[in-house]
Amino acid sequence: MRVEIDQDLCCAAGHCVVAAPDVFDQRDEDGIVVLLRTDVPEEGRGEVEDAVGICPTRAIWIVDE
Amino acid sequence: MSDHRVVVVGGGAAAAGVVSTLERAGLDGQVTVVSDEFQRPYDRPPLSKSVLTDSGVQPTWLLAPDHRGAQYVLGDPAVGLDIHTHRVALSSGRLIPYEDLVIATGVRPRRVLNGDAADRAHALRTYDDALALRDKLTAGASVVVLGASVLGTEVAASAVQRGCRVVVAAPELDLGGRLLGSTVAAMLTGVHEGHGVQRWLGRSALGVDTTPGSDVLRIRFDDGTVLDADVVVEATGSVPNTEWLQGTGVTLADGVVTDEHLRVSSGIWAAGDVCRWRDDVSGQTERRENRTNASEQALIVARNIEATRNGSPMRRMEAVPYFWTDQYGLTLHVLGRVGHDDQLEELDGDLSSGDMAAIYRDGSGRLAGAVVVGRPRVLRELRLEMVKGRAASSAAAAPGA
Repeated sequence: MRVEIDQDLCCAAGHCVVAAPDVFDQRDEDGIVVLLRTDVPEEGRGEVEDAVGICPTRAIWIVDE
Repeated sequence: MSDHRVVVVGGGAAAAGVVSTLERAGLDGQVTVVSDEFQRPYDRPPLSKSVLTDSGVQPTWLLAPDHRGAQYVLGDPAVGLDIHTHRVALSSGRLIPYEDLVIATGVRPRRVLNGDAADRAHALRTYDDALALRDKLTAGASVVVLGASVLGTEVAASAVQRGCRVVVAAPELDLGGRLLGSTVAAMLTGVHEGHGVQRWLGRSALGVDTTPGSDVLRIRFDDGTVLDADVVVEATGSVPNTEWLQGTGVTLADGVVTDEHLRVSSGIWAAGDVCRWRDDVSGQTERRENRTNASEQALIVARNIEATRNGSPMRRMEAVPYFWTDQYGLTLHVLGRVGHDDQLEELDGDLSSGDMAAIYRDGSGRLAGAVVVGRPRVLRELRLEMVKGRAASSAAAAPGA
């Protein structure tokens, strides 16, 4: 599965980093989300779905190919 | 598709979160959202910010406009519930059957003003409320905001941005005082003062009256003082929307009472502002009114609906408290509990410069909370420390531990 983000929507709350630390990080200067990887193995789906679910600005989504 | 019916009562962020999480999980069944509002779920945080400051800001939809993952019953509030026959009664007389019910009816503004002009005071909960207020926030208008919590201070900042003359009146002695603790609240007060906001603090508003021959409103306070204004905003707290549940068997106590899994009883759940859950670590009940909580609890409820159907373990509500507020271009991230100034262990930087960390620790050195502005790395580390601290106390409290 592939993960996509929209940095313009991100409010730097950082929930995604707590939910899925292997997939998401934040920029040092402003806390905006960055992806550590775009392709996530299926066993990481649960954590990424949590991040999608709790993101306050819906800045993360999963693309299934 | 099975005929398993999930009914979500309420049309805000918690409702949207339940719908989208069930959808992503591939729920075998159908979801119905029942709301007193006429719109589909939209985001409320912008209502006190961009919707007030900028013209033409449309609602931020929480589900795609063409979303077909749920049925929507809009503008038809729930008025009753029969937990024995599993039906929700709507204002129109319609009965909606469910197998799982999610109570997400949120809160409404607490109105405190009496007087012959009470109906001219504004409150803010819906998009329409925000549009009505924005129309009145014209340059030069005098605006009195009653309430110094998150909503009141955000409305004040937005009114300043519109060119209004703004007074914040509240029982607290500092803006944000009840939320932030006096040290940080004093800094926030300074920021508002720097933008020309006047304070009318340490007193409570009682009523608002018309003035003869003019459109000016006169607010009366409990210390005998009065204040005149063109626009009055009541940001004086909120009331959980639970009247429709009275006498139904659902336990109510300033909200809908649930267990640590956010379950009211078999097949009935609660999420968001209205939910008062029992924390199994502290033994206390707690209710949180913020956007983050709505998403976190929606996720837990949706997962637990799935878990009960397939027999897997349920999730507990153990998210650490977190909210953010945007004022004058500053974003304050508030983590944990920060109201106790005697726990302020470290204060570095300055709020007004957008670079600050205030860190609170309890007597045993455990992180109690933090207010962080402009330091994402610090925020992230503190948040992880809090999550780990919570996990450790959960493990210690678990049976057999």
